[in-house]
Amino acid sequence: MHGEIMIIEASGLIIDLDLQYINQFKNIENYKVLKKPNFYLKSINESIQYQYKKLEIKTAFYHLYDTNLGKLQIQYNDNIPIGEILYQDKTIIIIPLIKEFNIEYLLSQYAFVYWIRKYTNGIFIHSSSINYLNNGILFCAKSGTGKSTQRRIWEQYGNAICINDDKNVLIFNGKDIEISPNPWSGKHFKNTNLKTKLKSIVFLKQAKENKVEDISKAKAFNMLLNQIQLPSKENEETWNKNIDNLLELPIVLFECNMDKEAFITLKKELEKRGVFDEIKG
Amino acid sequence: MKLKDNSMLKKIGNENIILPLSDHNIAVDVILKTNEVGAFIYNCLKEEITKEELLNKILAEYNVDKTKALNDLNLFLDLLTKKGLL
Repeated sequence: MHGEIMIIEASGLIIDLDLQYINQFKNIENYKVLKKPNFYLKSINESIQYQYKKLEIKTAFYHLYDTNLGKLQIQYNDNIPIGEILYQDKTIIIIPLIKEFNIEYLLSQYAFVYWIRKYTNGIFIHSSSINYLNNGILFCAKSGTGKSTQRRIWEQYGNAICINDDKNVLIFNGKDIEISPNPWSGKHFKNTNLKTKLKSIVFLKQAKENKVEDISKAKAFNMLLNQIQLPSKENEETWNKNIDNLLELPIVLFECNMDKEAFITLKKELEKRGVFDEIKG
Repeated sequence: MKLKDNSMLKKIGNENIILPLSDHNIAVDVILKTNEVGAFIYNCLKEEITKEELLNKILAEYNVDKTKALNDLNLFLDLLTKKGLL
């Protein structure tokens, strides 16, 4: 039943990936490495018998329990349990209750994001990212606003490369912020294993005419809050510093349409703000 | 009373935002936005303090009417309790 066990490097984590539907995981081979893993992600077929101790978190999407075997997350879709995630520190076991690749993919992504918060100096951010002449740009917006559309326009007219179309990890080294690639990238499975320095964040809003507006740090933070991974007890201090460094970047609100003009306008406005400076110099 | 260690205050410009701390993704509705006085109260609550002491600190720091200050304080403490932060 199981696919091949694969060792991958994703956002700096070396993960032993033992998934049932790995053959359907597009682009995963691009992250393969010959390194000793530190993290173990295993997908199993049968549910485990737990002794429940306490319900700790209850949201519309999941319940989190403390159990005798570790923290257990039960994932729901329209009140139907679709999968379980058992967190045992650097080993995470996932159990797709609906036997489909999509469910396993979702559960494995949760595991990955958990490790990012716990074991890296990184922040996960819901966004689409591109590498344009070695400059990293993040497109941020609520789902359905057009992140992938702007990404596509930049690929088409600027020969930009998509780093990750939906799930980006930013790794912080002081003011140097890197978009650190990983294979989990939402419904389009669009990602490239290409580390890129982050130079700017662009919030998107659909409009008829293209217009770029600078926004305050407070406004940018408020907009980011819906898209980023929040701090934990362990990383509160570094998270705080990382956010301050992130807010030092040029951040704009881009009211845009889906035409070539959107690319031309944004490119010109980012140029004005020095986003591509190192390339010129 | 005292804050639990499950939240942090982030100050950006004039904005004060209270964020939950968790190893897991939790609903964004736990995030609270507050004003300068709220941030002052939040910081006082990092150490064990009684409501009376807290009220006196607010009256010493800000030029506000005692009844209004107490009303606002009660509302804010209720909110922190409801969100599971106090």
